[in-house]
Amino acid sequence: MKRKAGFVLVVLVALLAVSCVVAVSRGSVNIPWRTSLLILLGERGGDWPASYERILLGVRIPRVLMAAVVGGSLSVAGVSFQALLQNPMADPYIIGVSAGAALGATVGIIRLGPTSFKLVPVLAFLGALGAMATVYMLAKRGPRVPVVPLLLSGVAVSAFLSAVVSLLMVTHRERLDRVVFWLMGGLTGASWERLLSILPYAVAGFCIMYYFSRDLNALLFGEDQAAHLGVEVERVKAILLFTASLVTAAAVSVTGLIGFVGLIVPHLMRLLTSPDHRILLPASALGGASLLVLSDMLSRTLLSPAEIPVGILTAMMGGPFFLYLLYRRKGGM
Amino acid sequence: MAEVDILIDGVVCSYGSHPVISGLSLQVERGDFLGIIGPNGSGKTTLLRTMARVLQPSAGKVVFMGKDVYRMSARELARKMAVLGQEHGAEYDFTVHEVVLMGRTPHLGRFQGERRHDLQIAERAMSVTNVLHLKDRLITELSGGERQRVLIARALAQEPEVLLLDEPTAHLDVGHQTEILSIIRRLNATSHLTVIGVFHDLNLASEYCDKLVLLDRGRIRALGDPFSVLTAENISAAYGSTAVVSRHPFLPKPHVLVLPRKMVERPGGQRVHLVAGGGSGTALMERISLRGLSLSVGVINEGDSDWLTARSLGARIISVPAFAPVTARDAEELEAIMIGARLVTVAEVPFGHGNLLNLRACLTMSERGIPVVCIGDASKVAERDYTGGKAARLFSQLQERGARFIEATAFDALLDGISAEGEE
Repeated sequence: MKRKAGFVLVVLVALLAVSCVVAVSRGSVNIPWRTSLLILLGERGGDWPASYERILLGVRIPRVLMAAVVGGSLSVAGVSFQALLQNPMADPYIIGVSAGAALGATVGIIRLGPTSFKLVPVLAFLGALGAMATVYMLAKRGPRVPVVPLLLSGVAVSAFLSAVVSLLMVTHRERLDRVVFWLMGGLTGASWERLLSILPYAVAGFCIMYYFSRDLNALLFGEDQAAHLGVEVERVKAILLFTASLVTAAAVSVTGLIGFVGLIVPHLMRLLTSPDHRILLPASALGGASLLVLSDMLSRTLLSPAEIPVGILTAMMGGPFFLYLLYRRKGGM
Repeated sequence: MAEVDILIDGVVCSYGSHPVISGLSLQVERGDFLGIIGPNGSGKTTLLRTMARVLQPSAGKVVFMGKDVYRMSARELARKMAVLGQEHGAEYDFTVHEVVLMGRTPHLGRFQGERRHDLQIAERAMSVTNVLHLKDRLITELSGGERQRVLIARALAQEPEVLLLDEPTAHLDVGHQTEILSIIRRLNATSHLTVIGVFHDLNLASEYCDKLVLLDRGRIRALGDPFSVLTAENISAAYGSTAVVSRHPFLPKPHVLVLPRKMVERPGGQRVHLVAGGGSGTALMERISLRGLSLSVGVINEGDSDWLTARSLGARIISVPAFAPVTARDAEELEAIMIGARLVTVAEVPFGHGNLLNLRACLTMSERGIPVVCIGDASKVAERDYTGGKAARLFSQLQERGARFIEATAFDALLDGISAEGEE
């Protein structure tokens, strides 16, 4: 079991590396992968057009790395939410983060006009945190935050915020397409700056989750059993709900709503490795990163020069795949 | 004096404004096997949850090995106390080995891997609960009984000094129930593991526990060894059910038989008086009770098997001490009770000088118009007459006054008639 898990991790690292090299090579201009690899490894001014370096370093590398970071972030957040809420259908958006971010972004796009490029991510981030805090406070019962009220307030708050977003969309038709495009999610706005702005959340978030991986394992058996195994359930829940929401909010703020990655990748990795979070968390980070890097590459190249929002691709691939998993292993998770 | 593992001191627990446990105090000593019993809503599971540090009481405290459990960390407590809950489905594909190793969680540092020592402990726990051969199987593939054994192994891997059980066998068949409880019983006996368990099944509780505490509406109704707790009176008071408590056929433990509801007396129903003794009345009493009729019995010797039955059925009894004869004064009391009966029945009981007055009282009743029936065959009365013919003479006098000798089936029909009258 352990050996197999280690093997899968090595394969996933290799997969991510290959995905990144392939993804930076493909696009409106196809660059030979050997060249990409050399440039990635730091070679400058070699036997290739100078524009290759500009394309890779200025556009594609930040975009691919951001896809990797966002894919990994959504996946580990999904892993945490599924364990914390003891619900296999949980995803990073379940407690209102996505709806809050959508509202923040929509307000930004509508109100700020052309200057919105810089501020939309900030507003989306704040909206996400606001929604998450509201849901958390609504679900709080004394010192405890029971799971069912948390899920229900998440659903209610999300529905309300989505309705407000829809209302804003119908009353501001002139910006409708930009809002819709944001909601569908994509990596078009990728830049080194944005990558660096979300990287700390992803790295710190992953470390915190990993720190609590044994507690997450115990939580899979229910809160009572976890408590009996020595887990301070309410404290762990509060810390990890906050951490996972923050990681999600950071990712969503720069890419919009990319669906299904945070739901599917944890399930897929549980099947491939183990439900043990000490393996599942790194595996999901790597797997989610590869998935989004490849999906984003397809989104750029399939209908080139037009770009398909990556959220559409992940949902179109993820939905059927998820059903396949579900029917292949009825009952198990 | 034995060491005290858990001290519950004036604990109050409420859900909303409704108190589930109201000021309960209890002491559990090292090596005890204590069963918590009581009807639904009596606070059994709530009490267990306060001990397990899952539910904080609104007043009072739970002291575990000298420390208030709510001042201990979950981790500190988990190194000394393990909890085994009801079996429920496992959803995630952990192997048995991984699940059992989770029991080491409270002993391990955050980034510390399992050491050789931890693996050995897990191995030993698995062999004690007989799941070592399942080590590499997935927990999701196991049967309910196997899964519960794996969870015991996980609890043992915590190396606890106290094990709490929350109806661990509730969803298991009888074979697995006894298997699980025998494992725990053995651990209690050999490793001095203190066990505190909530039980729904009174006979399982009686069989496996040394001490029982009977809860009723959040208070202790009885506490002590199974014989002193599982009495018909306590069961009737707590559960509102009529029970017959006998001795377990093979163990020095009480055995509880809860009677069907219909056997429990209806208020304002008709009463049948029975003259019996030596076991002649046991079947008759059950027939009477089964029809919801109330029952009075006497005069009878204390300790007689019919006396025991009458007592567990909650009958009105006029008794005299064991081997003592019925005195004129007892007979007077008997007549006072017989007079209000709808029917007086004489079981096929032998008559001697000691109980002849019972028969005389029956004669008085028939003179006063109360129907009297005798069970058995009139021609065989002499065989159970040890009074030199006095009893036989009384029987024939009874017959002259209209008393009938009837067989069991006719008696049933008679009782059905009386029972139907009561319903009109």
